[in-house]
Amino acid sequence: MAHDMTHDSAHAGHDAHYHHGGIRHWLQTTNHKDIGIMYLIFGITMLLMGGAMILGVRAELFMPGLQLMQPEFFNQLITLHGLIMVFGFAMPVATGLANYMLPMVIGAPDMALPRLNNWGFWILPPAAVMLTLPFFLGIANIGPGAVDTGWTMYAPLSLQSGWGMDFAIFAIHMLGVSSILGSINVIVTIVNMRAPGMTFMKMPLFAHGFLVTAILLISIMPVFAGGVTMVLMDRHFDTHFFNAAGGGDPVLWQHIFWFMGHPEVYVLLLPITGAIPHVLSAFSRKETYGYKAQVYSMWTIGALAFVVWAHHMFTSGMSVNAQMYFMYSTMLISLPLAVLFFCWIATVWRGSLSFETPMLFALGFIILFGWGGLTGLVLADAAADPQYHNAYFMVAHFHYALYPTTVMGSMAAIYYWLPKWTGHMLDEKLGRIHFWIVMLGVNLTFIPQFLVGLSGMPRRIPDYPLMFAEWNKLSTIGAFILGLSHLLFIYIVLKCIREGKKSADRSWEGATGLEWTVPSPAPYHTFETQPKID
Amino acid sequence: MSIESKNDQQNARLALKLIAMVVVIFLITLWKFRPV
Repeated sequence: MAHDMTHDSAHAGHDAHYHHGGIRHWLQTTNHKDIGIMYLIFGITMLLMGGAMILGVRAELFMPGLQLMQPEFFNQLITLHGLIMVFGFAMPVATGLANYMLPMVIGAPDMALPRLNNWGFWILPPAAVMLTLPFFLGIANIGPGAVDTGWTMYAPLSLQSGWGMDFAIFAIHMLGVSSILGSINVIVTIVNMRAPGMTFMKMPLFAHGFLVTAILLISIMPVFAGGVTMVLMDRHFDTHFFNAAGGGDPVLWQHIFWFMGHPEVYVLLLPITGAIPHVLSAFSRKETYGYKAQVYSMWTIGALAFVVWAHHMFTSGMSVNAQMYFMYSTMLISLPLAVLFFCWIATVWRGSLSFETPMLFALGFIILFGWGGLTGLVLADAAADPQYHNAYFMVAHFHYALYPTTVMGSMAAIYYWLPKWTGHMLDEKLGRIHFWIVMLGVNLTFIPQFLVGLSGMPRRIPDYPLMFAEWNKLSTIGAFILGLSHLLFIYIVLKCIREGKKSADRSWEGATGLEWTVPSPAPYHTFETQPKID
Repeated sequence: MSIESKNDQQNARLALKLIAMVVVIFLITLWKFRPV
């Protein structure tokens, strides 16, 4: 393995590009920091778009009766919300973090494949346009509107839906290519470009999290691409993969979708489980507890992710033996996850704690994600699942799993490394206010959804009986608070860039790792000569 | 051959292997579930 990397011929062009400025610079840049920033801006933009859509949904659900929109439009909103949040926000933000931080934490000059990196990003904006264009055309009364099947795109709905579905299929192909390219870059960078002496078991947990994630992604995205290609062929070329009328099997789609969809949950989770220990360790002023246990747990979660998918399908009809297998294998995942929780708590335990904004978000993530995980165990019970399946209990569960992970976990990481990126400290007071607004918003939005779900309120409906009205009102108020908190986040970041206090090289007293050995903000090429690890 | 271009080649080789793996998984998916 070659470790004596200085910057290669592709990197040599960066400095020239850097001086162009303007749109040409951003179109052509091959610098990992530039591309990381673009991913982050793209992801946050999509968060606002997907968030605005779900606020429309929550406004409709504020009280019983149809008041704002027709059911068809409601269906488009929930579908696009799901697709945008998973593929447009959560994954690009994680890729942004990987791009910006991975070379810095492993002591590399850049990502291994800089031009591929640029290409991988610039596929995203056209894909987002492809996904949402039918929606906006539909608003202007052109065409049938966007895909409206729910993000799971189950057959036969996906075979009957209008051409918004075709746009969604091509968008998914493009998003898939983008994330596969990003993942290949992450794998090659980690495998080939670590600092000399940095063995796999000396590698920061952040890098382990992304390595497992990237391997998951390149394994599942081609399957998903194959699946949506089959839907496309069923729709336009008279095949019958999923069309029961022609001898196809609609349940086959569910298997293909969840073979991608379940590991996808860990694609969203594992980068954060890699980043959180850095934050906890810094603000506990202690080394992270159980490094090896955390590494093994992450890899175990990655492996188990492939063999549990059908717990999403307990109500689709399957043999009792299969149900038992998927129930127990799903519950097995709670073991490595529990090890991670234990290690996080043990890292904080008896540490010299301080509660700056990144630490607050990290602790908030642990508590709320814990609730998401525990309610997942309830759903994994094949005997109990029919009661919860497709009810709001399930919606609350996966939002407790995904919101703390993708939003709070990402914000913990962004706030933690923001001084390194900008050279400025953030406004702590505003950061803390942001955290408490988020905590209020998450719980006010999703606790009521547990309760109405337990009482039997189904998901994906624009109207409901009067008995669910109070909890739904609270949930809608919570959602709007949550939506506003994201605007505060953007203000805090802009304020940090413009007028934040100058940051030291080591921005946080307890922070450790290669990234804190370089100036803040980090130079355009972080490590032109690789550091040596003992 | 300089160290830089050797590293570039090493990176490209691994990337190509991974891309080949992706293409094979995609094709297996289509073939495995073809209607018979």
